[in-house]
Amino acid sequence: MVVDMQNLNLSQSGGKMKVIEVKNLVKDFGGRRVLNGISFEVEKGEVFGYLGPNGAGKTTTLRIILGLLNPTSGEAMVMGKNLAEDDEARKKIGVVLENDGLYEDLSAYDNLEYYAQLYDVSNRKEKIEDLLRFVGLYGRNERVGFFSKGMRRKLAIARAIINDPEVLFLDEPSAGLDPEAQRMVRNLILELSKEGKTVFLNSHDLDEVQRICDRVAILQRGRITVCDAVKNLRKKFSRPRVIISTSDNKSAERAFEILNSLDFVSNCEIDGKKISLMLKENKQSSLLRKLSENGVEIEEIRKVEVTLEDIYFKMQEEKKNEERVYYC
Amino acid sequence: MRKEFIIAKKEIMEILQNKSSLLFTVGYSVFFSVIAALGVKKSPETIDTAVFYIPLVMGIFFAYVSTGRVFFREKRDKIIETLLCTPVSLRKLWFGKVLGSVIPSYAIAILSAILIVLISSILLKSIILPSPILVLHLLVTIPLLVLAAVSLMGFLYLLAGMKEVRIVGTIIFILILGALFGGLGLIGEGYRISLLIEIALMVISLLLVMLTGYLTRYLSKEKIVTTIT
Repeated sequence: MVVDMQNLNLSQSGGKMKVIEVKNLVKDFGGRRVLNGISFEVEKGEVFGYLGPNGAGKTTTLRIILGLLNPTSGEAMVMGKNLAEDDEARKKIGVVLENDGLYEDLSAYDNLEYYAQLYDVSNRKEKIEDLLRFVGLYGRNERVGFFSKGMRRKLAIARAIINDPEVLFLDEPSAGLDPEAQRMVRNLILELSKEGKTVFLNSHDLDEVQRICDRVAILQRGRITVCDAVKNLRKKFSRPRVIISTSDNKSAERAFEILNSLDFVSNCEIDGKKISLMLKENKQSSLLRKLSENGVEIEEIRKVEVTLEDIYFKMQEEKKNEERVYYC
Repeated sequence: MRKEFIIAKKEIMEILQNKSSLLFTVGYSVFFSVIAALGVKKSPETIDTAVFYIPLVMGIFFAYVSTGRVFFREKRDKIIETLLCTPVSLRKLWFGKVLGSVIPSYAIAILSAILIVLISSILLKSIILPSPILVLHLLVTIPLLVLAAVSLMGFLYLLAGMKEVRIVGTIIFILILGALFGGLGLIGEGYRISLLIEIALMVISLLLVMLTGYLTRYLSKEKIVTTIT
């Protein structure tokens, strides 16, 4: 596919092209502030994860970017255009919202054909057949109403890319799907990313985001608390978690007592013969020395890499603590 | 093809795919046409009244059923949100849906008229036709009235919240038929279907269509999206 770079109207910074730019977005609903000064950018070809608990404002942000809601203040641009004002600019985006947006009384082919016509797609028949093959639904002529949730989601993704979009917006794409269908959706997104599509992924599935996103923003109560590459976040928050296995429960209890007295150890938890803890600094050798000096028999000690889930919940905890301090 | 026609074509295709609702409406149309034809058999001069009322009521009734499908269901199932992200303006979307509902509703009205004339002729064993003024009624007044009903119901379906939306269509349906029958009743029992009545109905329908067309300026994506849930 040849992309006309001059017509794409992408702003550049440091050699990277910004496809989505959100600046100081504020949204009030009936006197309640839902978004409070959101700013972020998504570069071309990135898979960007937008994380947050239910009610944090993820869908509101997405709706403003898509031009479905007007911001109270601030702006959201996609390829330099405001999608609310520019009908033509919407030709370059693909969308899978919470609802699949499919017509149950029509076949998969007819659903895709309808959207292909709305997007003025040329070579429709060929394109639709290729897409149905891509998502494994070629030859399924029954009504979409008879499709499983996974099949519907696949078709929704096919529908979203019928116009060969530059940017794909996905709102909880694997919500409610079984693990197999979830994996299939993830693989589809990764494949699209390999093709150079920019993907904006709204999700609260931390595992999914960790597996497929290059960068994430964590939204909490209308504010972005973190926005960085997943690998940077891991480094930033990488207080290594350590799991120690002892020979018996008695040794574990003794080790637990000792570990709790060490100032470079935190979040110490005991579960039978196993102890889980966080090291504030890289003091694994000091920890081992201390335990052996006290005669604790260790069977195994291993470091566990920090996950996005750990970071996410740590952020949640910090936010709660901040609010507690504030309200006190 | 223009976007409005693409949307209208899809709506018609979906209505035709839904066999149960189609059979239900066609069944009603046949039933009332047979009842009217039996009346015409007893007194043939009532053919004009039958061709005036039955197609009009059937057209507006199907308009009520189809707008529920075309507008309400898409809002309830949140499909409208995805449609609003396509490169189609909101007014084109509304108009395409209006067209997709008006065309099959008008077809049902014409089917009723044809059935009344056909069955009456069979029962009377001679061809019986309504007055020439009814041609104007069938070709201009009915499509205009159906268009007025559909555009107003469609507009309100998009504008109203999900709680109110269920009764909006029913209220408009009852209001239009009530105004029609009430208005004609006010003229008196001995009124005749005249050019004046046809022109009055056309003007009222046109005013309603123009008013709704104007009101769609106040329809926004935000209004639609925030009234979905």
